[in-house]
Amino acid sequence: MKINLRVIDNMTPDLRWRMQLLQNKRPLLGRIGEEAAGAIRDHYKALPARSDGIPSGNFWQREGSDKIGVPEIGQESVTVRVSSVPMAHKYKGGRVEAKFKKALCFPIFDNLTSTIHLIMVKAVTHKPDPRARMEESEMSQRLLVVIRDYFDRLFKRGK
Amino acid sequence: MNKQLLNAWAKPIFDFYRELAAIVKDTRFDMDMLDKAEDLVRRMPRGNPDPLDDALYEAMSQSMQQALLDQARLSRVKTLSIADDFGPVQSAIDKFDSKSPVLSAMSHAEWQAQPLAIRDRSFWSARVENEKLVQSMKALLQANISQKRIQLSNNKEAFVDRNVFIMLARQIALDEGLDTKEGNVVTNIASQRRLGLIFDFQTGSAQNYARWKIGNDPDFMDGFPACELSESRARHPRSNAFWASRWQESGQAVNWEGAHQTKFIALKNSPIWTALSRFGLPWPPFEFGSTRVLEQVSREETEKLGLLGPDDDVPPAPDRQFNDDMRQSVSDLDPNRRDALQAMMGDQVDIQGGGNDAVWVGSLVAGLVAEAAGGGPVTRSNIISFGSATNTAVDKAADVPKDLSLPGTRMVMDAQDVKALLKSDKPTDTKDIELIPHVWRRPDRIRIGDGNRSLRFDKSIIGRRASVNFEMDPKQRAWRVTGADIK
Repeated sequence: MKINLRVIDNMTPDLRWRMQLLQNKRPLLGRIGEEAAGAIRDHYKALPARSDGIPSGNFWQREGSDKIGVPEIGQESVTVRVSSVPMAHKYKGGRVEAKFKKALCFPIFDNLTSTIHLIMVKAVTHKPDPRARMEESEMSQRLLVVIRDYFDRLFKRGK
Repeated sequence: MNKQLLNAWAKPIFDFYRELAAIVKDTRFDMDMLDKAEDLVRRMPRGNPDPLDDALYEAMSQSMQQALLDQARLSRVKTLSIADDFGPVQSAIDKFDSKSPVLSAMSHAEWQAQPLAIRDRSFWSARVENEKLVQSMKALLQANISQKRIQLSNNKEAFVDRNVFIMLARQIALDEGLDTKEGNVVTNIASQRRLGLIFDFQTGSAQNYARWKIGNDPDFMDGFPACELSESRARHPRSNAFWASRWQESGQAVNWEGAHQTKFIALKNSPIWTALSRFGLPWPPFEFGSTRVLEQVSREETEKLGLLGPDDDVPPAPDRQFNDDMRQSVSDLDPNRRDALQAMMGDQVDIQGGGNDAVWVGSLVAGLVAEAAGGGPVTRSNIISFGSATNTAVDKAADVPKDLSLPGTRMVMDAQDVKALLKSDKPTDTKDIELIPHVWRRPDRIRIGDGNRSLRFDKSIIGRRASVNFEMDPKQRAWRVTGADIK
């Protein structure tokens, strides 16, 4: 998941004027990027572990929380990325075929006997899971606070 | 704006101007009047602007916050766009690509004794000298980090995850007869445990390097000048006491420079990070199998902990200092150890820059390829020697005519040679050119080549068949590459 945050687009004239006064926007963009990464990390942490009786493989943490970074801070935008092929598959869904063996192997939990059975299939199609990507609206309020705090501190320092 | 504060500040000033105006108006213009006016001006009230300043600041701050809230309501912060791109991180790819595969019988402890510059720029595994395994492991890890699919023998394509890496690398180790029959232990290169450890360390190190690099961007450090060692995410983590003890040892070793004594928090340029690492690197993993990473600590938190004062500048980024340390780690080697290192590594390593820089063969070739493919003028000024003929090569060439015998000769290559290879009728991939020094060092077969004074070296390497034609330059007693066919 790649998130691009552009700070000067679609601003009110007043805020745009204040942004343009910043000679260097990268310190602010760095804070915004880190806050966005933290928001995504919290989003994955809040997702419940699987409850179907199969031991959890900590997917959301392993492929989500642990794979978030801020790989790039530009002059006008910052990129936050969840760098993970399994997470991309989770989000987009798709067909998985057996490639190394004749069949794929899936665990199924039997509630009656409390045992795990393995079933073998040649291929499986996964539906997209929207939980893999955080919604924009969830994040924007957190980022707004960061922007406000940044200017607040800047005024105090300048004073 | 607070009117009372403004009036309190302005009243003495207005009173002063009224009195001054009265003197000018009511007194005859003479020296006496000027003296009175001068005396009054000397006593002119300045007023105390501080309360006014505070009020002005509050008003501006409130106005700013209101503007931000208005902006949020009006445009719903269309400053954010989330794309469905879960792609790779370029700096992690670059870091891993810069490592050259190195074959060596050295144990892990012997490797740890080598200069950091050498360890960090090479891809190695303790006591593994098998070229096919080392090259294959690097290619598989490269595919994982860059999220590229690999071609399987059944013509299907697959991404390389941890399980795929272990399965394929293990198969190569078994095929090459490298299983030590010790079972699933780290001393057995064919074991799942050892291969899993290699995967976790290499991919973790590349990803954490990428985070470390952006974390040291001066503009990023402005907001986050320190780091905290995170909680473990391992299924069976080491105890907190282990890390607390390691933190104390490392802190005392560096005199707690820029580091907090009880919390696992330190400034980014604190030497505690490299002291904490088993591998001498300032980014995680700091220990085999460790899942602890570095989390950013804000400027405010750093100040609260007393690591920085409110007026302190952000400390300089540590990456330049780290690079200097890397150079130092080679130049500190005494000449005897440097010679011993070259004897162990053969011509895989070249110590340059007056002994300050260790360069691997792969990096040297990459430099020539960059020059040849760069579009600028390509000269023969930068001739790189890839070492004398090895005993293996001399043995394989026992039957060639005497004027083509290998003892006492060496292989050289420059950017023009590389350019000719790239433009030949059998164009060679830039990655394949990196294989040529390995073909020179350990050929499977040597036969008479194409053209005068030529030898052709054949070798099977990482599942490919390489055939390289070398031509003798009798003046320099050196062999140059004149053709390569790598399939």
